[in-house]
Amino acid sequence: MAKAGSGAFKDWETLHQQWWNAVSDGANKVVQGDWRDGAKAFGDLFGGKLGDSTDAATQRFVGGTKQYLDWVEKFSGQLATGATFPKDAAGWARLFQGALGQFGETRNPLHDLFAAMTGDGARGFEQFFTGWPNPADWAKGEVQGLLGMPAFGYARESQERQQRLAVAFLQYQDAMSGYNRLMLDASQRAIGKFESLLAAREEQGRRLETLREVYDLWIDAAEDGYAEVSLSPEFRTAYGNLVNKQMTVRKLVQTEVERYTGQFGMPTRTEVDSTARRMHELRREMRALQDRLEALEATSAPPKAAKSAAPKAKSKSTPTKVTAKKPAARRSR
Amino acid sequence: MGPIQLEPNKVAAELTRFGEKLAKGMNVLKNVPEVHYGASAKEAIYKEDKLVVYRFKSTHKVTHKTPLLIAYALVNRPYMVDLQDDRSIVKSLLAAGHDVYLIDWGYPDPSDRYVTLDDYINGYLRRSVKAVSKHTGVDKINLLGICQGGAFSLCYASLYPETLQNLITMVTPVDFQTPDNMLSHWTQGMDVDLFIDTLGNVPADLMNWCYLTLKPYRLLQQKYVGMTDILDNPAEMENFLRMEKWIFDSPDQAGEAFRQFIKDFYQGNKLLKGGLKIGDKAIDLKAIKLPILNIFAEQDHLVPPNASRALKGATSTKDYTELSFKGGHIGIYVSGRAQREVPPAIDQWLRKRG
Repeated sequence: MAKAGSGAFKDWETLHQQWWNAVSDGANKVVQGDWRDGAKAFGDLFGGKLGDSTDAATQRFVGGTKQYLDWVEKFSGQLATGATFPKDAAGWARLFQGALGQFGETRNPLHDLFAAMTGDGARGFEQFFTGWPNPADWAKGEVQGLLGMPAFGYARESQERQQRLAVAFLQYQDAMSGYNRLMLDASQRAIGKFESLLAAREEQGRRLETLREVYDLWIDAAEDGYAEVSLSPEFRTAYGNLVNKQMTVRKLVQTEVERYTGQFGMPTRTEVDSTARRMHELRREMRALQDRLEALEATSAPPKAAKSAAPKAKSKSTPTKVTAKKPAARRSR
Repeated sequence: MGPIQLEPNKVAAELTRFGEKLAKGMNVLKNVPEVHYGASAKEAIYKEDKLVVYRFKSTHKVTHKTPLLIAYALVNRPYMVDLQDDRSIVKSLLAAGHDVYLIDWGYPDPSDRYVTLDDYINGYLRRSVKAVSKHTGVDKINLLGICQGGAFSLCYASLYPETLQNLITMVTPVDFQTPDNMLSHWTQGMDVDLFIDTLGNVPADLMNWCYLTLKPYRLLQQKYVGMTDILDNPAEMENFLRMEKWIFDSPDQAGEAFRQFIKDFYQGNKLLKGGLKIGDKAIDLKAIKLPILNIFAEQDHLVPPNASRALKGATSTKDYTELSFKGGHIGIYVSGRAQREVPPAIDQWLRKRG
């Protein structure tokens, strides 16, 4: 078994230093400085110069690759600092865990993965609260006590609304915490799954000989762990709770936004919805009338024999042996 | 020896290759053109609100007298069935002599917030079928429903069987509560009324986020690490980018339709269990007696195969056929295997039934 400072581990230490250089050299020195910036530099290189789909894909590529390179660094770093190469699946799983670091509710592979997601669907509430008390402050004990106090005076209604929003936000934070606990559970299970998959390969005499193979097996294990938790009754409850609490906060925020924008004469969401509803009801009524009209026209239509005398559409792709009509010229609405 | 056997020189070489791929990939990405989709020319034959029914123009002689209308899901764009020249179910069906039509539901905006499943099925879908019948001069057409569009097609077929000759369902959920259905599992605790009352239409970005979190490691990370493998291959990169474009080209979901779909289909499982009403019309799968071809994917993580298999015995048809495809929910349209297996199977099945 190899020892630190001796042959194999000396090589690993060198490798740890050199691996990103190899990558960046291969990339024509485009990636400069600290390797963590490498993937970002790749994305920045194309900023705004590509088509929409290329640009979006590049951004996602940069995110995914950066996480992979981060993992490579940690994993190879762990190899370089280890006393010996692990000799079995359990040892490799421990080394792997060491590379990923100690997991916590807000520090585990899944949390990091989701935190790196961008876009409206993954957006938090921080931007909603500009001009409001800092939501983080609401969680403090003394503030929590104030949230239950009766409101009075000229600003009573406003205070009650803010209290309701603060309470809803705290409940949302609780729900998020419950969800994060399950993500932590899934991340921890992933390590166990990784060990099991390694052990199975060991039994079969199959070895992983590249970093990519190790990484791919880790992904298999991580997905297994995540799926197990995601299909559990606990997750079902936690997920529903998280969605519902988030929607409660959003709804209350929307109410406040409406109040403010209404004061400036801006059309509100409620008004737009009301217009959309009325317009849609009219569309439905019009189509119902159209259906009735067509039914009446059908009953008073001339016999089929006369109808078949109409000119047939001539098209190479017209179905054969079928009396084809000309394409409908009018919209049946 | 342990299960991992890494040698420094090999790892260094691996990382060097990785870097070389990145370097070449930069040039490829800089020069790859904006990707486009669509292999077959088409013309609009019917429009209503945001919906368009297209007829694909064929250079082949149409030998099937009954036209085929494809009803896709609301949650992605329908051009997946005609993505590119060598990945097009439509192209293969045209080559086999079919007269192929497609419903494009469009992109709902806030004015479509109150569009319901009644509007989609008793309205848009019914009038689309009517438009195709009128355009071709036949009384009955063949309907191919895909995914959610398949569920709509089943509802439609139970209500208007006199307008259909044959029904094909593809990766269509029928039992929405199989134990392996992660999406369904997640919706069970949702207060859908609060969800829709808050959001109105469901943003596409939120839908995509949900889909990505079904397999977060693979879809958010591993897929893009894998992209490195093809970075130096312009043709493959173009295919990859086209798929990316499709995956994230998602319409918002009309609020009221989404509300009922989650409540009645996912939470209530009423399509299979009974009790489903679309508008004022009760849906009874037993009312379906026409021939059915049910195609599903064995590795489908969105619509598990058992969710589709549940169609067997759920209707009154005496002519039921299943096709189990070795692949996933997306591979069933675009993989090489799909091109070889799916359109010929549809063609042969329809050919026997007129």
